[in-house]
Amino acid sequence: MTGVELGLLSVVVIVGLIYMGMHVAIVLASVSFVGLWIYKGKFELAVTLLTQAATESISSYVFGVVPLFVLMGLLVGIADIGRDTFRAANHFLNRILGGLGVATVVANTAFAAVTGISIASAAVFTRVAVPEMLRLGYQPRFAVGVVTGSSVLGMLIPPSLLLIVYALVAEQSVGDMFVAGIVPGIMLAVAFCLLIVGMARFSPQRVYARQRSSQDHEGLTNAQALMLLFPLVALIGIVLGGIYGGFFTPTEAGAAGVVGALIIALVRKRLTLRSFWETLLQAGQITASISLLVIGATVYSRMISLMGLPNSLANEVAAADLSFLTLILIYIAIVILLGTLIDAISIILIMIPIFLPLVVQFELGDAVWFGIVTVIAAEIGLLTPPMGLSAYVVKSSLDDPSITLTDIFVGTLPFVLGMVLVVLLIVAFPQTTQVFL
Amino acid sequence: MGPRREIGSGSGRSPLGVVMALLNGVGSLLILAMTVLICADILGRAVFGVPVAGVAELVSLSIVAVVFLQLGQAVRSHSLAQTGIVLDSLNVRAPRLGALLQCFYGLVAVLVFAALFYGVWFKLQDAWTSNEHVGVYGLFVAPIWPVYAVILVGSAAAIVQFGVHAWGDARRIVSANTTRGETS
Repeated sequence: MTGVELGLLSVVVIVGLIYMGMHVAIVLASVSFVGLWIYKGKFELAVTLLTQAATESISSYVFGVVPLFVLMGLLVGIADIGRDTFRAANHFLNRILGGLGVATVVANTAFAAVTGISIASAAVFTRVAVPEMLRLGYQPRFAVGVVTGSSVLGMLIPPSLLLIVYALVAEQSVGDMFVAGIVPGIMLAVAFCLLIVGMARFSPQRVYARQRSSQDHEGLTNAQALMLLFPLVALIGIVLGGIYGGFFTPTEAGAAGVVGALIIALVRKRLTLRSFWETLLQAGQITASISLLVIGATVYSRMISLMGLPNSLANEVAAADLSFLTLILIYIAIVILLGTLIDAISIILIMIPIFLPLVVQFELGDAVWFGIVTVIAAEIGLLTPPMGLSAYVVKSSLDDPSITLTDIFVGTLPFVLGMVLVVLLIVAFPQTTQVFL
Repeated sequence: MGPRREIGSGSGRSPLGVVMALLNGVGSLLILAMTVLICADILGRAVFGVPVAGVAELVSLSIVAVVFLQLGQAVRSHSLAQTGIVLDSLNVRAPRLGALLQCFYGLVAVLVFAALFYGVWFKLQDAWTSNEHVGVYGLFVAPIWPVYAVILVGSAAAIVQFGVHAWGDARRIVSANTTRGETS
């Protein structure tokens, strides 16, 4: 068997085992270990590469962003910032057609700027926005669809764990990825809002279950609504402002964000010593899980390059005379298809070592842009059956058992189409990822 | 991804559970220490114009310690990233097959961490005998062997915990109990 055949076989085995429920990090490490062992015929070499991955791949100052942003995201969730953001957005937007839907997207966008985990957004907004939409006569499918669809913003708008993982695996700067994520994130949010207004205008039966009741919103004053947003804005200022203003490295911004979120949670009396300790333990567990993924992915990436997979793929592409555009479109299709089998992080870890070396050979192939395209395409899998993780989180956070998983997937479908559209726009206009660079 | 169960559930108060929880606690305290250290560095530079020496080195060493100290508990509470859908439905429809698969996954994980333990063991010996350091002499230096020692501890914890899970799964193959992960 040639290196390329062995490499391709390994990739297929990896996808299969992940789908079958084996721990992702263990799959990456073990299959790559065995693959290297067979290919080079040296057990010691495989051990050396595994050991190097464990001792070196995560041992860096930059990697500090992982526990810090995870902890900050968890604290922000406890501090009820999501609920307040939604209340404020609702106050300003409820007069618009489909207002609550738009408010959910806008609040999610703002919330995404202080949290890096889609799961967190999906859980918070399911509890906050869905009951409110149902109360005001929106279609259940529409309500859960909006929440599920807009939860992906959390993974695209910085600080985002997927962007961090991409930066680490692709050896790009975390700061650059954060900067590049802004405009595509806002594009996605705008696309979602337009979609909601359009549906409310042209297909109201999909949005409203019954005649709209009177606008019995909370009756906040403008000043009160702005006050609700103050902690969020302050936190965004510290973290993103700190990074973009050049005051902080991403790691420092993470630490400052932890302190900021901690202060907000304490001032609001949301945190006891016990719940803080639980949060800290949980942050540690999530960090361990992500770091182990990166370690596994490092071994895998060494195997892929030793077996010469990117090179032979490059030759194939050159021989087939594929244009760059065709290549990217095929790549996006593969990523979306993989999304029906495995989760977003696994897709990124598996695809990047194979395709990135190929893409950067092209004049148009920018690694940062490619990362954004990959992240959005991989996130589509969060919304589609059977592996739509966001849909499962929304389902498990719902109080209302009459709303089924099918309702959630059907309700989310328009937003999936919106994401495909935005990915294509970003492929057509790569400048969108370079606005602030 | 994300935890498949609540953190800490199923950790009971068996001796093994206590050890894992202890390592987990120390690892989490290290995250807090990292936060404090980095903020001290920011304040030091902004207010006093003096950075804290060795922050970058200490963070890069502690992150490895954070991860490997958490490992045992992460395995124990099933919070390592995995895809649950196929496995969950197997555990309902064909519990024996589900247990067999999980037993296999556990054994593979034991082997992976055993290989890592073996590799890091030699690194630890080298680092100890040749007195390896990180940092810049005169400013800040830290020995590197404690990190390797922590990796060994974490790998050992993972081996034991994956082994315990695999043993529980093996017993489920025989008894075909439908509940998942009743091991400790």
